[in-house]
Amino acid sequence: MILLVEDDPDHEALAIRALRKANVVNEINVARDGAEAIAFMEGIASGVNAMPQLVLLDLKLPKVDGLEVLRAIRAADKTAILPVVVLTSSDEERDIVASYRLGVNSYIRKPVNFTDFAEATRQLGMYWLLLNQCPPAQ
Amino acid sequence: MQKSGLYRLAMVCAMIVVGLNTWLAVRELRTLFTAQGWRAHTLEVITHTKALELEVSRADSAVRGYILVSEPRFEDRYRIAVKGVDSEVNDLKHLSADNSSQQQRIQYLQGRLAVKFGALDAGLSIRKGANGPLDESLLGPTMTDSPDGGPTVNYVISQIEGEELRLLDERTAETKHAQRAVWASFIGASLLDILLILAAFEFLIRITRDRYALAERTAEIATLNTELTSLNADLEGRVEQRTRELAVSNQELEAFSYSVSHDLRAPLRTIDGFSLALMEDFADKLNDEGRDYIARVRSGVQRMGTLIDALLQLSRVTRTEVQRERIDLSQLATLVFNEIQAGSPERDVLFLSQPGLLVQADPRLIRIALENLIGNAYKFTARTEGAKIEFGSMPGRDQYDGQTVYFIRDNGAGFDMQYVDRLFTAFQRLHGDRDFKGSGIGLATVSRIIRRHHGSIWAESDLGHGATFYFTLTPEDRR
Repeated sequence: MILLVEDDPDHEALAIRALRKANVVNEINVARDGAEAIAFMEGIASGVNAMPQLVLLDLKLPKVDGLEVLRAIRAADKTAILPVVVLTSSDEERDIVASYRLGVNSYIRKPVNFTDFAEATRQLGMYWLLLNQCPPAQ
Repeated sequence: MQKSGLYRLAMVCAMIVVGLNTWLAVRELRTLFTAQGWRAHTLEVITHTKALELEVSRADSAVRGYILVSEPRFEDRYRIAVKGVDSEVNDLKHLSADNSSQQQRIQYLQGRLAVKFGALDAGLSIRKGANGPLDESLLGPTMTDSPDGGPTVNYVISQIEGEELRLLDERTAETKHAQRAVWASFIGASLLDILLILAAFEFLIRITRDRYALAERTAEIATLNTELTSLNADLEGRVEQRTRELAVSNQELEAFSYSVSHDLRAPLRTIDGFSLALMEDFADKLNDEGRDYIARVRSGVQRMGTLIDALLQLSRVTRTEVQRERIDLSQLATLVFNEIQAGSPERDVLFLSQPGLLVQADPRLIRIALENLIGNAYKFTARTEGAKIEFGSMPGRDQYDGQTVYFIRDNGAGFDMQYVDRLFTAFQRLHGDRDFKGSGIGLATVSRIIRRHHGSIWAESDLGHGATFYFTLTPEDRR
């Protein structure tokens, strides 16, 4: 299962389309703002929600921003080692540095060109869902 | 320090002058007193000569009296007169001990007195011995002034007196002279003292005036200082305010840029994404024209994305702190060129880089500058046969004397020197998109980077034969 944290419905649709085009068949859950994402994490902790294999996290989110979500993920015992990839429009240095400081696994800037984005998504799915050995679900 | 030394010197001089005056006055006074003493002495001698004369005439008249009436009181008178003469002669001798000519005269006088008194004594004995009438012829020598026919006693005394009178004249004149000298020295000294006092007063007045002026000036300076302090405080306050304002505006700018980087790109991605989806999912429903439109939409989106990125870079260049470190410009230029070359492997461009150009600069900013400059050279040589890009340095001339000027030269399209002023202004492009694509922000970014390194940038070109971009980088410590 993949958790996609994305507030823009257009981008949500495009991301899901790109993942499916890249032959990613995993279930995709969507959190539409930071608060929803944190609620989902709490659901994991209490056993209501299943542990995702990968979190695709946008940084600029309503209510609670992506960095806060990342902090919450790393703070909780169960999700501390969950693979998280930041997928954002920002290439501001401070965002990149802050994300890595908070323990992000990867930082990808969404290109404007969708062909490039589709390619990035394909590689992303391939790497994190197939190639990379994820930590065992607890 | 120097002034007080001068004052001390002036005081010492004044003291010397006053001391000299006193000494001179005392000397003149002493001369006067001496002269007066001598004059008094001469007068005393004259008195004694007069007394001697009187005693001699007394002796004379006593003897004559005795001869006339033969009374013993005349003999007594004679004896007293003789003693008086002796005493006076002794006094005279004593008083004129210093005058040899007078001594000679006195000695001579003593001789003459002996003759005189010899005659008088003889007369006295003759009168005593004769009980009867007197043989008057025997009394001849006694009764004459000069018993032996030589100079009379009175004559000799008058000579002595004459000498003393002459000395008196001389000494009176000396005394008068000394008096005049004393007057002159006193008047001179007094004048000098008055002058000194005047000078001292003038000096005092001047010092007081100076002090006054100094106090005034000090007060003025104090006022100015107070004003300056308040001005400074005001200025500091204003600087603080401006700094706060600037910090706020910087924060706003940063927030704006962040927004731009995120929010402006988001809809572009949506447009591009759905355009692509349209092309992929509905390819069978689109003819060539429809597909061309979609391609144009996507190309417009790309342009917009490039522009946003360029704008972001421009604002970032302004916002970030310049952090200088030692970098190898030659290596960096080669690295940048290789990256650009890798993007279009079909092109064959010769890149020449002068090795070993080391500078103190911000590596990330300089990299952006080189990317733009070399990227431009690369872009504008796209239609040139045997394209060549050269990076190097040369010693600066004129206003850049003593500095190193770096340059990037190409043999590409170049630009019209008529528009050289617009080259480094944002959104000014000297070539249409039809020929060479660009954001119009690259050189503005380069210019900002160079300016942030306190350097200068300028360009030269021969239209159709290439362009050269020159820049300097002022080291931090040379500013």
